[in-house]
Amino acid sequence: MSEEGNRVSKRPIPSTLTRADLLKLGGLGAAGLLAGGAWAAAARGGASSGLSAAVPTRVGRAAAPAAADRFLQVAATDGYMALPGRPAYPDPDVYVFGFVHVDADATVNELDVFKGKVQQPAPIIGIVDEDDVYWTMTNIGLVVRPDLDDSHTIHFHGFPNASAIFDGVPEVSIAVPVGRSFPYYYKPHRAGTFMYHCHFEDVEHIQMGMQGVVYVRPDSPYKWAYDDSATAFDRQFAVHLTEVWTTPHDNLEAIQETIWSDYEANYWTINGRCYPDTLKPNNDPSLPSQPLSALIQVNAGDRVLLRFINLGYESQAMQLPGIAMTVVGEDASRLRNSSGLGTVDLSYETSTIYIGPGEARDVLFTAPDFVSPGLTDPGNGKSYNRYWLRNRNVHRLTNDGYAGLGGQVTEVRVYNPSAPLGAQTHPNQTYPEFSPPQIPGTSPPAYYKNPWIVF
Amino acid sequence: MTARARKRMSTIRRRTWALLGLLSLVAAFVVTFVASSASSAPSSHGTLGTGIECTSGPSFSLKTSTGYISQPDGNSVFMWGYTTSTGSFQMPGPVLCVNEGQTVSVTLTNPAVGGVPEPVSIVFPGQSGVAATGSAGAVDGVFTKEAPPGESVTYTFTAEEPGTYLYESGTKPEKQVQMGLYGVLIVRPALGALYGYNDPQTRFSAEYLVLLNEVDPELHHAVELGQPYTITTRLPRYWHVNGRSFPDIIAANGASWLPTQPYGALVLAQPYDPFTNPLPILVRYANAGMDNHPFHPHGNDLRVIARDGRLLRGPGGEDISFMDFTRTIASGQTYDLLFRWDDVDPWMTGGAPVPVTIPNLQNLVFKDDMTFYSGDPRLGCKGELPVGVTANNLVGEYYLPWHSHAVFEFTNFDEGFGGLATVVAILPSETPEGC
Amino acid sequence: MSTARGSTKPLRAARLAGTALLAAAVGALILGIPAAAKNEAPKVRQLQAKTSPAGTARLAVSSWTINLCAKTNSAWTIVDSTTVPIWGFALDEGAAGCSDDTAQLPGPVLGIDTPTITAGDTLTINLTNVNVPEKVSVLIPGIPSDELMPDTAGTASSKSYTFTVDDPGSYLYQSGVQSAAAQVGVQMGLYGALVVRAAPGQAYAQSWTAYDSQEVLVLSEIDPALNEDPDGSNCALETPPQPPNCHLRDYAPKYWVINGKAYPDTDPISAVSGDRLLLRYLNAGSINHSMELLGAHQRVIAKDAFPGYPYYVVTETIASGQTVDAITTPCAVGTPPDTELPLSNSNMRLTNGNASPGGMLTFVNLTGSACPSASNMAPLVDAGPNQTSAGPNAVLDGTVWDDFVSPVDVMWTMQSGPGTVTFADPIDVDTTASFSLAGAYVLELEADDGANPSVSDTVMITLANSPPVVDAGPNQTITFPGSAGLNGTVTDDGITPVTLEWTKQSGPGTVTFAPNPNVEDPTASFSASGVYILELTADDGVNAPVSDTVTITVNPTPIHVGDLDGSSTALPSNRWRAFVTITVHNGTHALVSGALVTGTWSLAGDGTATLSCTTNGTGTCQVHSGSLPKAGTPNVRFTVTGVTRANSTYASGANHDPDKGAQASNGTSKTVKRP
Repeated sequence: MSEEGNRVSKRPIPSTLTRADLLKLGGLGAAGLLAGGAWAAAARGGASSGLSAAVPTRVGRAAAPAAADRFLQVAATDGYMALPGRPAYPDPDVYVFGFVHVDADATVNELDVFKGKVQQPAPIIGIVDEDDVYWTMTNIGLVVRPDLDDSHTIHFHGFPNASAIFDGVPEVSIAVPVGRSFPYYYKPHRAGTFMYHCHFEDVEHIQMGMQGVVYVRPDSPYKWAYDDSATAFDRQFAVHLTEVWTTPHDNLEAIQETIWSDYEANYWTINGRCYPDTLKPNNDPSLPSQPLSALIQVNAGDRVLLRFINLGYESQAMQLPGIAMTVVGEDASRLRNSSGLGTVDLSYETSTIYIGPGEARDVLFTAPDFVSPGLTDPGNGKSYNRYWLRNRNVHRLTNDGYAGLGGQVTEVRVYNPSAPLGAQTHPNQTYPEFSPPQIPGTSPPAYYKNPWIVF
Repeated sequence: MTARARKRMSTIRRRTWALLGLLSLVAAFVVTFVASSASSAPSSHGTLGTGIECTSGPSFSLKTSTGYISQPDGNSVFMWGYTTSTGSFQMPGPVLCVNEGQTVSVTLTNPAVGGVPEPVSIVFPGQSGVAATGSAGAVDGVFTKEAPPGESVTYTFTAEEPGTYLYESGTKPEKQVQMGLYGVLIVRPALGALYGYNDPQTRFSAEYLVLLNEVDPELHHAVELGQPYTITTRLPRYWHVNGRSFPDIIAANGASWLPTQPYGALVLAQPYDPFTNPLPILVRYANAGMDNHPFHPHGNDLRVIARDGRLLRGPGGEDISFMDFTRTIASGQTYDLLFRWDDVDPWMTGGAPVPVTIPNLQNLVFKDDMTFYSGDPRLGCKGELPVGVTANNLVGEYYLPWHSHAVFEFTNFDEGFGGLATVVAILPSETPEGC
Repeated sequence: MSTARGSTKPLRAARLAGTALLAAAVGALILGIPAAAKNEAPKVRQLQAKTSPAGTARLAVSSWTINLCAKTNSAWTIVDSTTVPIWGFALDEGAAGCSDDTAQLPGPVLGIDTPTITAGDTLTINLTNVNVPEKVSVLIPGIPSDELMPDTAGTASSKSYTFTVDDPGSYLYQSGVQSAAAQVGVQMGLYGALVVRAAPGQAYAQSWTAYDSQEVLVLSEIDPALNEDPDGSNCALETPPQPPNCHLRDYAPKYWVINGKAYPDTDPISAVSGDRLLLRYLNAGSINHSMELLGAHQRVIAKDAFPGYPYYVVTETIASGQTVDAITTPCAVGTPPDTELPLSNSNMRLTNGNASPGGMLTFVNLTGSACPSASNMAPLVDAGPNQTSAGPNAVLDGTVWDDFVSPVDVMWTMQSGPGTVTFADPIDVDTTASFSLAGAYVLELEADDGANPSVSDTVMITLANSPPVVDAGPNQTITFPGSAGLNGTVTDDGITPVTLEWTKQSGPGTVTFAPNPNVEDPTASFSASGVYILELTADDGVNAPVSDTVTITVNPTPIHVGDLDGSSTALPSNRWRAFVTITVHNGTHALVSGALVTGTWSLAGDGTATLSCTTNGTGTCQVHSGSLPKAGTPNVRFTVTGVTRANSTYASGANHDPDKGAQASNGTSKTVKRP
């Protein structure tokens, strides 16, 4: 059979129309030529149907809404985190690398105070579709291993059609050495939940903690996951899954090599914390380098968006028994297909979020009605019903084998509407939450910034 | 650091060899598709030494053979493999290509000398009515009929449905498939070889294979020496795409320095253009390994259009294909995906400068003093690179890795930037004026 | 109850493909016709015609009570003579309570026989923990219970749970993980399958979820180190001593089981060739498992009891805690027919410890030989690329592929658009469509091979209103005071009316267009000679006005001397005077008045001599010489040096004199004789 297949066609048409043809077709004169140009423009806009809907629906060259300039900055350095079963504060001993939230346009010298004081994980970054995002990353160096003059990069994981130099893979572009800043630039053309991490000696630097959530929200309105009212929410929470394999952390501190194919995680974290630390509020003073809470506090009836990302090296199966979850987005693509026969809604209900490394899910649920009497929250005195969000890979519900439940476990707390929580003003808001803690050892005291940068 | 530095040196040396192969491919592509600013002719990438190289059917005569493959860190690994009856050892097995509706017969001979010293077989996941007839000494195995040393088995079936399929050993798969007894079967649709499926919208400009597996050298060492191996303590150290580990995978098909690993997977693409480059690239994923691998393509999301040889269509004919930036490819699964690059920003191809000032490149790091970066953020433009940096960029193209995001698999044993990965090169459609 | 289901089910179905699919399925159920699994591609439009309340398929609603026992079992046989201790569920059947029941791996399958549970039923589970040394509970992810999070039943205690089973599907029931101590309960074996059907032979409401037989496959894995030491007391005995959950941290399964058994002790699955076999996979293990069937594809119809768009697979991953429902329709094809289809773990967990073969492996054994009839491929339709046409016509480029087992009819129709569409030949894939108005039209190309549901594809034609094309015509040169007949042309697609206007862009005088400036070819008159640029502008009211210009050169009138007559008069004292009368003509020798004639006399003479005059109404004027002496001046000559007049030009070459004899002259000079 020919590559064209069997064509049902009674007679051929002229492949190109002459001006005479057009005149015959109705005295168009030269207008036919104009039509050609217009069609080209339409095609550039990706107006075609079917599988070619792979085109981003908003092509930058087409008219985009008025874009704002957004400036943000993170600093790359090292530090320590605390894990259950390991020495806790004030002497946490799990050596980590990371990105810490600093003032936009800070100079290297101004960032001295952050050296060796990194937080886990990297801050949540929330930017806006079609905006011009100026994202500076400053490498202020490693304090514990000054001999390691490791460079760093930002890889905006999943960002489509990125220029190589902003894609952050050092072997095929550049890396940022100690004492230098680099102005990453992104103009997102698609909403959704993405992630970012360092791609320099990636197997080491990602595991060491240089990873975070970045999401793109539609330019309007604010509380939609996608440009689609069906994805509206009242509260949103980043659920950043990863693992800690303490061996390379200890090896690095002890100037030892790690054989990466030996990989065998022994801690499993949400937002940089293991259960039960996951339940502590934002900026809890007892966890100065793990400021981001994994507690999910909502009012009965709230529409809640969970932005799952997995930057560990293992697949996980997260469950929230008692509450049906609806997956509306996968890898920053709305689960909806507008090609072929009409629009197909591919979102689905599930009890299990099966999520592999480097994958993202946008999950919506409606908080159930409150059932009295519930439990009483010691932090805010309000009464709530408790649901568990936890890893169904139950052999990972441990902190390196130490006694008690551990790992990727947290709670969804549904509060009594008679004494509701206030409206959410930033992702992962906890009630109460603390102001950012002092950077250890600073005098006069200097303070961290919040572990989120959202516009 | 010295230990680390020494290891990195060995990798650099091998990696550089691979780059030579890569650059020749890109150069050929530039001549064919950029300099002439011609559109990508369907499947013609194959003629450049990358893309899928078919062994055409419908009748195939295969044999088992044993041999060694080389790893980018200089190690070599003993393998078992399928090859053509007249061919020498290769990894993986030949890419078998047939047409929809054909009656396919695959005769597998397990030579008494040079073959596998135990019964072997082939199963064809996704095919129906596979009939197996063997020589006198052929035996019935758990999954299908097997050929002990010196025997042969012929498997016959009708290729009913187009798509991408695995073929692999049905005998002790946890051992024999890991040892290398696997390959890919491609069934071309009635529409023709330029389509993935019987759907006009699956027409492609070029096609690539991403066939995954793992290697635990302990298993291969034990098998080579006839020693016992404990599967319960299996620990892969290498990860393969088309039988090669990165960076070897981006060398040309049949690269002379990889004599037993003929298949590369460097992906060459150009920006979408409705007139000069309207067709997407078809990428065929298949996982013959025991582990599920999360595969993450940089550059742009891929659209998943088919699973295990079946187009993603709803009961009403709805198009239920979808896009993602990481696809977990489970053991035994195949996926067909479409890839295209879009010039989405005004500054992209030879356009306005990027709205940020790139620091003096002297003040940045070029890993191992070499780079694929062009010196200019814009596609198709080139800029000055610091003295002493080996520049591998030809016409301002982008290089972006596709890799496992179980990042310990993005390594060769203990070296980063290796293992389960390949690279896509995004080339300008022509040399732009604006640079 | 049916109301409740009516309120929930359509929602789930609506997310799928509109209530239509649900309605169709229910309709089929009412008629007692299980929709054929291979009844592919029902056309959505057709389905949407049908409507039927979701609840009507449901006849009765029941409440069920099940008594479960949680017990230890010191020797569960995995395969052959290999045993491990487990904690498990048992069904309390006898009169003796739990005492005469044995814990099994997995727990009893609920919902199929004990009893048959249908969506909408209420299920109460009375749990008695006989001797499991940790707290036990019943949790069903996906089904809310009256307990927000199940409380736990401690050793030798009991607890009751009530579940409202709104939706059909395959569910795991398992001991919850809420306390530090209970986390190993699931791995010890406290799990089982709950199956809820939509209706007899119907897994879910959707038509393609009908089945002829079903099999429940509970997947899990076993690490004997954990089963033999669930409280981790041995961890402290290791050197160096390990923390109490070391078996979780070091979890390393040695056995991979289907329904608690490893190959070769797994139970084969019997199926009839050509029938629809529903495989209900439930992964109770702690590790993700991918299950592969050789010899026939599996069609995944639901995950976690949500019936999404179905799709075909060879192997599918069932994540830890997840359930997957798949329907396969194997048939005994091949020579000899393939009747033993391996169903195995494609992660190749096919060993028992280190022994091969083993693990997650069983077979689908086929009886009979029925197979679906040979397929007649449904047509494939491509309505062609979207286009923007200049209008009012567009050339359609459709394509239809087919295997032509049966003839194919094709038809173009308009789905939507602002106006009407006329197809030159609606049954030709390549034809021309004519549109009545500008705008976006969706055209549908439908193909029907008579055997399959008709298939269609749509194309969008955007009818651009193209600007007019204007031509002001050729440049012209006329002679004053003549007028110019303009020759403009305007062509347009005629989608919107076009207005025209002629205007003067530049020129010395005024221009008058007759009959008016709003026609393609008016007559233009000019008030003065000179170069005029006239502009013709066309405006279709949509696009920017388009214009073109034409240059009209208005030349001045050529004039010349048409007659020179001389005369003389005697004056006193032997003097005389000469007179010359000049007649001025235009190009057509018409008399020209108002022309200033200037000239010179060969002898000026005394007194006044006139050197110029202006022609009168008869186009003549006279000059005279001064006083001349008769002596020595027999004659005198007047020479015309110029003739000037507005909008006129002196063409001296045309000077002439009609007279003969005495009054003859060359039209430029006239000699006058002495009287």
